[in-house]
Amino acid sequence: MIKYILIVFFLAHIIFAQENSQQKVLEAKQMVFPALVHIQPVKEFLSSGEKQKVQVTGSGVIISADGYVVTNNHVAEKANYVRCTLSSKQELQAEVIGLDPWTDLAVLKLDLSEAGLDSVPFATFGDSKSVEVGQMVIALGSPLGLARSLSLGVISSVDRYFNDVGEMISPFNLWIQTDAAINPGNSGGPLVDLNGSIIGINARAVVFGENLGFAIPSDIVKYVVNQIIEKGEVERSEIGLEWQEIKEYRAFIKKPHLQGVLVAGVEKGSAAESAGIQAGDLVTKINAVAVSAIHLEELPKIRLLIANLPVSSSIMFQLIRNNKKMEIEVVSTRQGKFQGNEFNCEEWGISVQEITPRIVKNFQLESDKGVLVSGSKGGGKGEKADIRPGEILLKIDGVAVEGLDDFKEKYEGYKKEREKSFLLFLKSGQSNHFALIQGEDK
Amino acid sequence: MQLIQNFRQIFGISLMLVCPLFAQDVANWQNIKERAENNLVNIEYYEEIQSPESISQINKIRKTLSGVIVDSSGLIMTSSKIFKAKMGFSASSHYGPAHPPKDIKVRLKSGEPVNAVFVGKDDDKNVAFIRTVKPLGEPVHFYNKKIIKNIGQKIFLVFQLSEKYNYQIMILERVINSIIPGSPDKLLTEIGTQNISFGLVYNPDGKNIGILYSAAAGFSAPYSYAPRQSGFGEVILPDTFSDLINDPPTYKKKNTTRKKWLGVNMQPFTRQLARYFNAEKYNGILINTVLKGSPAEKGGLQVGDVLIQFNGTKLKSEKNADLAVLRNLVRESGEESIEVKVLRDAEIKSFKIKLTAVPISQYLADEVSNELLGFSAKELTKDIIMAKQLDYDTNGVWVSRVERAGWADLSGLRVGDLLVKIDNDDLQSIHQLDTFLNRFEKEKPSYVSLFVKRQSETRFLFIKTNFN
Repeated sequence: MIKYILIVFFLAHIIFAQENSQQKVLEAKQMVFPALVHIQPVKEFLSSGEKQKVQVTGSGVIISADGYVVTNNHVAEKANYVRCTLSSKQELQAEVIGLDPWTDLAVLKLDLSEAGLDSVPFATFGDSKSVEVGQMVIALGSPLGLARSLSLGVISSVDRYFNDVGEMISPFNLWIQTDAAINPGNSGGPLVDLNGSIIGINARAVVFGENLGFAIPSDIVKYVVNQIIEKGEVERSEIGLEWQEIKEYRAFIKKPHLQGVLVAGVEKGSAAESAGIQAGDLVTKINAVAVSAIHLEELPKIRLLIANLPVSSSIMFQLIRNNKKMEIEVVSTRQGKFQGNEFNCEEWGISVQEITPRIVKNFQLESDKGVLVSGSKGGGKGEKADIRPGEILLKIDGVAVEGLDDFKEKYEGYKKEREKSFLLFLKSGQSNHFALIQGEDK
Repeated sequence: MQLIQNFRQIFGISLMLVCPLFAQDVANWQNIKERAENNLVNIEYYEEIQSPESISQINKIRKTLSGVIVDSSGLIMTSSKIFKAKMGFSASSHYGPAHPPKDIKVRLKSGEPVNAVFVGKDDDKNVAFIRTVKPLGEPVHFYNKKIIKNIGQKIFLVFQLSEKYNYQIMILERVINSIIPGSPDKLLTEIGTQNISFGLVYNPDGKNIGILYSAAAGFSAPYSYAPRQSGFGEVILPDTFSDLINDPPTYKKKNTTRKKWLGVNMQPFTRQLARYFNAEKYNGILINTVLKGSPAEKGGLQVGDVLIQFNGTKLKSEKNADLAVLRNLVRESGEESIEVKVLRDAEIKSFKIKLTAVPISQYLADEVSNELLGFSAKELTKDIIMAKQLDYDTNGVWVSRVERAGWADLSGLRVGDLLVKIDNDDLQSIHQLDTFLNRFEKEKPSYVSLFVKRQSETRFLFIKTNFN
């Protein structure tokens, strides 16, 4: 008899727990769902020296009554027109307030007046630091364009680290991994705990994997969003160091309890290089705060420590070089642009791009002088002169091109002289190339 | 009736004309076959392929080629693809067989195999030489005199079939299908088969007028160095290679016979460019790049110079193919010191330049390996420097092979990594690395530290060892 009572009690417990979870999911959904936004930006970009337009679909979440929306940078970047649909199916336009490619976040502002609204429902951020593996979460958004979708899962990991791959970078944050279904289109949508708080912004998924979605933790999102709303961008300090975790280094030098972080590289021409920091230095303190990265996952917080200091901060590094303690002061500079501006030279059939520090590094250039050829239109004057994307334009008619603004200014002048030919001097790797932009026949 | 009689007369005359011609042709085919049998040989050899993922494992692949006996001492000329690695550096780099052919056996038609060794090769002329340990057969006699190079000219291609066909001679009747102007002109013939790689070429008079080279055939190896011009063969005339027969190029690692180089990249000085520079009365070649430390740089040439004369030869270029003239002049230059005339800032200037041997390719570079650590490294050669966009005068070593799942692989070392430091010491030469590796074998450290550069990033790697 007791056995049967126990079974009934156990079943009742399961049913009650299920009902309880079901109730919590519904309540959480109810808190965020009204703030969900289906975003359809029209992006304008240059491809092969020509303007192209494309409409994409993403997700977002309203975070204030006056209509600020958080989404991903990769949803909102290059958008010249953003159409948003609220979960109430009301459509309205939004303005891009600011972008932060370094964290893949963006802030939009809904034009409430267009829909005759005074305010909109919004969701609130939770604390991503208190999130635990195994905790139930819901993801909201527009997977493959299917608006107002909800998926359910658990937190699979709270400290996933990704190395930078091309444009996919995340130097300042770890990722929350979830098995809640995340598909293309979910980008920018909220990952929500069962209290109905945003604990992350969904941004990535493994296309050939199953149930492997990744969200940017809400603590990072809050910081970035506030900065963007206040200043229109996130201003960061930079010194030009590449960091490396010390797990193997500790074993190599037989100091298993060593604390610190290894300098793996010093960028050419950076503040750290001119201050004298070298690859191989072991940094133990930054501004008197002990720092250590035994494992890879501890690197973002060190990068963030420096990035979040005001630009032109004097930063004191305590380090160990050849078994000697040293102190080196580095004055931070403003973090360079992630992506340079692009300019379309219609007359010449090419597009050119500003040379950012990232281009200098990735192309292993000596300086940021010149402009990068980003596209060449088939049949254009540039293509006929054998100008290829990826080349660096250094000189025109023997005169150095200093940068994009200098180029634009010169180009406006050239456009007036249609009959004149121009000799461009370009560089690609170790090889140069002269290209003659042919003047039009009189 | 009249018509029938006439027809008979015409038929009779035609028969008289055709019969002797037919007889002549058969005689030629037979004649060519008999002569070629004494000159053509079958070369059997092993190509050694080393994987970039293995230190010790070498795959040996048996291959065959035709060759021709070119002197009475046992010198045999064959296709340069008997050893595919380039001797001089070029802008593109590949991984491939770094060792010359091994276990070479040569035989005349159905004859006993005779051992041979690799002598050397000429990458530009597409020929290589081997030498048998004892003389065999008869040297071929090339007809060196004036050869008509008309398109449509009939030729006979003669080569030796492989063991499968009992090493018999095979003759194909073909024509010159295209003549590509140049110095020398390229004579192309459509072979129509992928099976011929090297053979002799006869004219209808039974005169041996040259050799046949086909880039297309025999590329069973995973690495190819020539465009696959399917079905095309190139007739190479004796004036291209007769000097080489008298003085064959030699393969001796770093002392291998190499071409000369100037060290510039160039582009055609087109009429449009000439007009732009107000220099329409000049023809030449525009220099767009001068490589650091090259003969051109040492001799004073600059980017933007227009080369108008090379050792007295006037230069002219309107398209890329025209640049080959100067390239050949430089590469084949017998003289070390040459004079060039350039147009610079509307003035003609003369420069004396000392031409040197083209820097070696990575295939001739010294390599050191350590099986226990599981990696090999080579000294930096100019081809690798260019591929990696390093400063042209960079010294150092790069990782050429990493044993799959070996200690180095597990630590994250990758083929192509530049080794900058080892155990915190700067690494400038391959010999230095060799010293370190020998020391590690004795001292058996539990970790080895490497500081590597991979594209634009640097990183420390710690190889966990297990010497004991």
